[in-house]
Amino acid sequence: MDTIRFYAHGIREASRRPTMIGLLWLANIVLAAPACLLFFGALGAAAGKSTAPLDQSAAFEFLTGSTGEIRGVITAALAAVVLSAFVSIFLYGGILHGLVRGGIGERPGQAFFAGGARYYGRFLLLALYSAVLWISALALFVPIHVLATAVMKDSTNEQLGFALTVFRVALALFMVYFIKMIMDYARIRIVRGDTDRVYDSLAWAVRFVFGRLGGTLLLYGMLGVTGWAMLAAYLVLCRIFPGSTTMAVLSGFLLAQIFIAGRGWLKIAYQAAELELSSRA
Amino acid sequence: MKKLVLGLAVGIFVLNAGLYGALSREVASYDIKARLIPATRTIEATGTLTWTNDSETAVSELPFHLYMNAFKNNRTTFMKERGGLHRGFEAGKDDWGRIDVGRIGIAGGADLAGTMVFLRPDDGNPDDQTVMQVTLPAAVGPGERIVLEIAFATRLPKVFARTGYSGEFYMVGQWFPKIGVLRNGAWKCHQYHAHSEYFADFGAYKVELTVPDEYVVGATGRRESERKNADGTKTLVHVQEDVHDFAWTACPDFVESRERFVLDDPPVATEMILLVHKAHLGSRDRYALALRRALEFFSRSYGPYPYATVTLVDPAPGAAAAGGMEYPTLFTAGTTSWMPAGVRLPEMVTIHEFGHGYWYGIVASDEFEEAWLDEGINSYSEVKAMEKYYGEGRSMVDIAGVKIGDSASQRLRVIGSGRFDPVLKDSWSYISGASYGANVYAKAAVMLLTLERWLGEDVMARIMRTYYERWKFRHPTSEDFIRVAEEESGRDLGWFFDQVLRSPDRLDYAVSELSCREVNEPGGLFDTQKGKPAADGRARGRAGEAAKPTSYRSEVVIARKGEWIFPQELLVTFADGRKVREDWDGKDRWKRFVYELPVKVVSAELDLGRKLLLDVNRLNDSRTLEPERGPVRKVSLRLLAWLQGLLSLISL
Repeated sequence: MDTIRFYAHGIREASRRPTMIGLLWLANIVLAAPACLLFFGALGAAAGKSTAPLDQSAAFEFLTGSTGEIRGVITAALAAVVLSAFVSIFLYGGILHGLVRGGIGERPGQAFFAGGARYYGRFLLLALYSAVLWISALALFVPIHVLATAVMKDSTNEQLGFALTVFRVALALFMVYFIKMIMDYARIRIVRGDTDRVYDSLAWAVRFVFGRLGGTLLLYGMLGVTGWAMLAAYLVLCRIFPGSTTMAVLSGFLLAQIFIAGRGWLKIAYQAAELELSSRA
Repeated sequence: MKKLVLGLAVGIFVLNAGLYGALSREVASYDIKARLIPATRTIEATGTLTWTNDSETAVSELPFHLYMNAFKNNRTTFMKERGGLHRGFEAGKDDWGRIDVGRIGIAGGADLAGTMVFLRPDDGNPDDQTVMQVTLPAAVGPGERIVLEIAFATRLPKVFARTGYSGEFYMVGQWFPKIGVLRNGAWKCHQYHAHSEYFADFGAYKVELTVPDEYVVGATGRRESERKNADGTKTLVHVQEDVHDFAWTACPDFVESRERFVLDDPPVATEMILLVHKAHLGSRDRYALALRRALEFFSRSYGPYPYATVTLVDPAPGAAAAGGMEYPTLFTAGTTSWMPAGVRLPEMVTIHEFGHGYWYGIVASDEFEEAWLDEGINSYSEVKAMEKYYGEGRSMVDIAGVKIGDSASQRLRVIGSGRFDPVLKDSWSYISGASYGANVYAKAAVMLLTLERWLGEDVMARIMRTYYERWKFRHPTSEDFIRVAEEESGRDLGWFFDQVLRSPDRLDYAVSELSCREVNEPGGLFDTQKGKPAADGRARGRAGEAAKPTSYRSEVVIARKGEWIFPQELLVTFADGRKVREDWDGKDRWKRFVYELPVKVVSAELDLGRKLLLDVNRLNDSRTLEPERGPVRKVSLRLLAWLQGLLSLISL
């Protein structure tokens, strides 16, 4: 019951912060735009004046016929991915600062940027310390993976092979999100206590999560399900706008941006709900 | 005289018997008794080969394929060429296969074992023992026949390339000493290569197979008899005339189902035998439907299926490497326990491998030297059948909004292939397996699809039917196919086949430029009349009405970007709806078309009706004066949304 309350709290808090959602959306599109502009230019040059339909064959022709341009697009996309990882540290600082201390003499935007800058160093250090968790997870996962590979080698049981593959993928995803959840609580600890004891905060978060495994996992899962529901709704709505008319293209673009803003909203909801859970614990 | 005496002395069985069986010239017929010994993964066999010299040349040396020796060690030509890999499957480290010929001799006569030598005609590899030769005491003359007695033991490898065992599943192909093909006085008996298949003469086969009683068996041909033995085994006798190979399979976990297939026009009556592993029963109905469709398509398109049986073998889990392979009247398919309905792999493999019953089985071209004649023609037939029965543009994959057609996937392989090899080449001499596949399968298939769209579907249908009729149960060459194509189309097609079959280049024509500019009143100095000063064009313009454009100069440049030459038809469309068609022989590197009209050009298009599937870039086949950015925007914004979604998941 408490978990539902924390979940509702997170949703409510996120919904109250349109500026924060807007900033998350802005950071996202600014990082993604260069690769897409390069792609737009390359595709326009290859296909913009062609009457051939842009189907799978055309896409393949474009990819094989514009390798130089595609390399540029891929480079820009990879740069965006790397930058996103570092920008995310800043964004977490902004979100948590806004949630914990927002509204006290600062405008939302100011609070966001102030928080991002204030905690950047500590969160970066936390990311480095989290290597301990990643290595531990790997140490757990690798023997399982090796064992499953050995079982599958020469196996004539296709069902078992399929099940083991699904199991390994599920386990890997669970581990990734489990560590991300621990990191959330560690960041909350740092912001709430405004402490420089980053490693202690991480250790506290590990203890905290394992001490309330059911509650923390359930809350994380509920928010995860919300994210999947948003994705499903987005994919369904995307089918409403077939064709390439200006209106259809514009509508599809707006829908995508609403979805991305929705993901920003969910990110805030995660932090707010976990903040509430940890403060009530 | 000496030869004759010697021949009689060693009991050579020589006859000038008629060569004709029911449908083919029976050159190499086998009568084999084989026993599967599961404990040692071995087949012990004895048998006779009746070989007729169907040439004009007397021969005293007989070469044999010992294909199974390709798996004897890691230094055979087959293993070295691919590093022990075949279609992504890896050879086992301790599961070597081999064939040991214990005895070979003339029936009732001389033992030839002492004359056995291994030949390496292709690469001289001393570790390769896939071709063996024996020397006869006397030559076999044209039209004469010899009977050889052979005893051999074949140890099967763990299956990673078509043949072998996996658990209790056995796929037994290329398992007996198979005599080469004597053509134009020379033997064709190549070593076993990683990228080559087989070539053999037609004959009649009678094979007695003894296996443990619990095994379900499938084999080339019809089952003549079956008996149980006291030692817990059973013996099955299979016979088949007019085939050039014999393969069989055994597994206790097969579920056998039989279905009569009957077609009125053309008349076909055959028995479909499906041996589906119990783990794959979910695919059985899909296999059966695909096989019915294949029988109908090939019978109606080329000629009635001539055999009494066709056997589909579904390899056991763990034996996928045995899948997707053809043998006379029997083929292996492929599926998995959870094969989504929209992924039509079982259907495609069934249709493709059944199709080899025609293009390889009946029209028995040389797979070593001209592999496109079976793989390319069969891939073309596969595309036709798949798109007829499973829908154009979605015949291969139709799942979750993703649709891929067979012809599109073949074309993509052509686009993605490097310009290293032509289609027509010894199959072991390609730069890579990917190049072999892209050329022999895909490019040859797309070549025939292009030819079909260019000549017309009815002409192409006549070509294929005539080629089949003329060359069934014989050994055609590329020249024979080209000859039929030229006869049926009434055109010289040598230039087309020469390019596509023999050159590694590409076909790519493009509308490289499309421009339009206003043609204003004349400006500058012009000689108006002889002996008078030149007039200023601008002044002349001022003197008249106000200068305004009276027409537009539109230019279209079409270019040949690839090396292959193909006649081009250009359609130029103007703003008032006027359309101008232009023809170009396509030989030069480029050609410019200029129009001065009161309206602007709107677009220029090559390859009207999408005939030239071989053209590797369809995007440059047309050009509009004004860009149409809608689709480009849509695709780019989709990419943006996808990338944004990805970035929103990334955090440290």
